[in-house]
Amino acid sequence: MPPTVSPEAILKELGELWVALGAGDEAGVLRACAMTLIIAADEEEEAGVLGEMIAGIMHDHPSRAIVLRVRDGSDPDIESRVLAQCWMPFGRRQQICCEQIEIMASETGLEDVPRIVLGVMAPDLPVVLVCRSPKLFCLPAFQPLLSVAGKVIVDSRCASEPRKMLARIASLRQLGHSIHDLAWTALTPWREVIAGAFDDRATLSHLHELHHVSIKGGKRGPGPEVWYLGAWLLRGLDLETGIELADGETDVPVQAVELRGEGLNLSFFRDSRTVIRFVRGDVAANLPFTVSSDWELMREELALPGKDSVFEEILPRAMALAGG
Amino acid sequence: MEGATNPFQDSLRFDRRVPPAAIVIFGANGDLTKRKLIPSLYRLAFERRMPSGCVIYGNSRTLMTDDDFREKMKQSVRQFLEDTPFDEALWEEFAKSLFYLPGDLKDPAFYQALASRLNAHEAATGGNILFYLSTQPSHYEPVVNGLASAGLAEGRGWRRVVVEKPFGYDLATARELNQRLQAVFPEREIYRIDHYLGKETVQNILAFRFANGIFEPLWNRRYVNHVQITAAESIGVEGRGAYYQTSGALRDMIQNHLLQVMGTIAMEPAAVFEPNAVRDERAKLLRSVRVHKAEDVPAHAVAGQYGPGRAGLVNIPGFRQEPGVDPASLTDTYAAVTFFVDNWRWAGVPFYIRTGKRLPKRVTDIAIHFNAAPLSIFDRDNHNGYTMRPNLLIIRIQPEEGISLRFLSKNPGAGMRLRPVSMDFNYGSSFGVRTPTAYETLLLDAMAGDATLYTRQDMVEASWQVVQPILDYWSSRKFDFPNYDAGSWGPKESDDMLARRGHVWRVP
Ligand SMILES: NC(=O)c1ccc[n+]([C@@H]2O[C@H](COP(=O)([O-])OP(=O)(O)OC[C@H]3O[C@@H](n4cnc5c(N)ncnc54)[C@H](OP(=O)(O)O)[C@@H]3O)[C@@H](O)[C@H]2O)c1
Repeated sequence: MPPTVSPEAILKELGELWVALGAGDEAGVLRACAMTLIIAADEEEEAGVLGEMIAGIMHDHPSRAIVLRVRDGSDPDIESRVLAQCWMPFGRRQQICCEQIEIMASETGLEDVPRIVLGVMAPDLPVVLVCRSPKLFCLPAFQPLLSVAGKVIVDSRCASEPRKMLARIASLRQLGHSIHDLAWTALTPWREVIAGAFDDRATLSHLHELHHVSIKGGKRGPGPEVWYLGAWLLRGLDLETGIELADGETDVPVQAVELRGEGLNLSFFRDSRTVIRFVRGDVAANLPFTVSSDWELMREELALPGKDSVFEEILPRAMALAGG
Repeated sequence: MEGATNPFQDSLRFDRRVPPAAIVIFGANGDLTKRKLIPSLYRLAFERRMPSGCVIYGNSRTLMTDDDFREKMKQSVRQFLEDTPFDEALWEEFAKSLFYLPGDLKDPAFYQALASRLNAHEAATGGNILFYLSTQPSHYEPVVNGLASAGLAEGRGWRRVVVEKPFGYDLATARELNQRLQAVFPEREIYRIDHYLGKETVQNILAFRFANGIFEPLWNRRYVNHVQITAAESIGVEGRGAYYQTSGALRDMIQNHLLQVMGTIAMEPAAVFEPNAVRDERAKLLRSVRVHKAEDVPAHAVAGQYGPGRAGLVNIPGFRQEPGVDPASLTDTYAAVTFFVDNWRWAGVPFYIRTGKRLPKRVTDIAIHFNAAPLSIFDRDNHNGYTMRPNLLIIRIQPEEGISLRFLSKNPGAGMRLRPVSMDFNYGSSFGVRTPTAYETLLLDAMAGDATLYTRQDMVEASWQVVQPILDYWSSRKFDFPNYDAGSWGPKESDDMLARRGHVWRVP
């Protein structure tokens, strides 16, 4: 059964929207677009949360956002609507607006979606697909959409079966899809703090003596962040084994990291949202730390168009740690 | 393990690492320290860009304890930190690395005391020291000599000195200052700061010119008719009248900032993006700027001074009525100069530069005026006079950073009527992330040993060379000042200077 919406109809609606926006404002509006950003989410995901995230990203990466909401069931109907995200930058007189296209489809209707998306993408600009729903990501009907994007961003932290999710990321990467995981992105502050400790030449000179890594994760047991971090530490220390992953007491996904060796012990404890307590022998320091929101992680990922060779290298090790 | 690299570094995602160092600020009780230096260092710490192990020492004569200094700096950071929240916990950590050592810069014993304090941090800093001369220029020489005699100018780790403007008062004093500095520090360790070069948009000029294939072919005398560089301020001398009357607009803005901007606009591409390669090209360009003969100065340079005026409903005093200013002062609060670059690319293209205080608004931009289309085929039907408007590329440096291209388009409807439209790229809205301030960029660059955005001795001397005949001529003249009203776009002579070549100043 044919879809009820066509790319031409959506583009026509968009054109009318811009005319209306321009007419309502004496200074006119500035239309900003640097990429096509496709965001796929389950229908259950709260619209407010999604909208806030898109608004957050738009300021840094103005885009034509295509929001795909997928509902359960086999209803073949596809609906769409267009809207604009506008904001007035501080101290300016002209609003900046980005366009947003919402497409609603059922799981069955998904197979018609790539054709619509292809027709409404902004020409000549990069295409990024953010898949908010691990369930969608694993659906075979979703796979054609992956092919339209130069970069795909997923989040294994919200997967009910994170091991499976890592395996899917790895297999799709092997097929040539450029899949990135926000669980890895979320580790940047942790990794930066640990790397900073080895900027000290004396510490660096003991690096090869370190032979044991222990990571304390969240209370629900080690998850993707712990596996990725463990894999990255083993890679840096050139170790195959010697890692211990423990459960923590709180929901914080990585609570502490310890690196032990003959001449040197290094410990990192997450004290609060902004501080990591670092102890080396009898020296202690509080190091600044940041926890990023979902859209801040997305912002970091969107700013990196190329490939991430470190992630590529540690993904198989992380899967081994996950036992998948 | 000497020379071993840190396997945990990830240049894709982590900020550039800089080695830990001691930063010594001379003149720490002054304006620049509280407004710019400490807020920028705090901001770098906030962004986790300051390496651990860094210490910051402040010096001036006023007696203060470390805690007094920390408290004073805390207030300054709260007051002057732009678009960044103040984080109490982070400040506590940052403040632990702040120290204060009172002393007179003319006192040799002070440098000995400084040396022993800095030695105590050597394990953490690796012996690296950045000396920041945030004092009056008369102190530069005693400071570098004091550092040398206390053995601080060399040692374990690197030793660098950052020098604030003005670099000399004229060509002769600039040369003398360079010799004095170089007697103690090698040129590669001298970082002359020009905060204009640290601005993101000025750096973006390099990206715009050399990362895009479409503009560079037009960037020459065949297509460019002339260039206008404007740096206008709406404020007056804001209580700094006494200082300002020893300087003036030409010295304060054109000799350094605006000639460096012109260098960036007009330089040849460097073979590689490395500090000395980029600086070589900028220096080469500055050396190609024609030095006007004394008799040519009146036709190519205009001095102005504002008289009283009104802005909105407020009366504004003239420069001579400002506190601390000589009522017969002949200082230029406005300067406009026509420069020519004598090389193959730019021969015959005028570069007009103007700057002034008490102009209608605060704006800095560069306008590249292209030649008009060789034949205007629309003239017959068109009566609105737009046909001959040439294309204009505007690079806006402040306040709204961005790039606009103006071109002609057909007016909707019947008939071929044209009107100018503008295609805008807005730096702030395209990359909504906060851009670092010039001082953040420059401080971090100095610690990393990257001098790309700092000026070099030959650049400083070349730019003095081109303004010197103008300074000499102006100092021998009795101007009939004031010659422009506060709140206007400057003296009429400035418009006349452009009119002689058939040009007009644009209204930015
Ligand atoms: N302010 C700006 O926005 C700005 C802009 C561009 C360039 N600059 C340049 O930056 C530099 C610093 O500017 P500033 O306005 O902060 O300077 P400043 O206020 O004139 O001087 C800084 C401090 O130096 C101390 N000092 C004076 N004589 C001393 C001595 N013999 N020994 C030790 N300390 C002494 C004074 O504190 P004590 O009385 O406690 O000794 C003074 O507060 C200058 O070269 C200026 O040209 C400033």
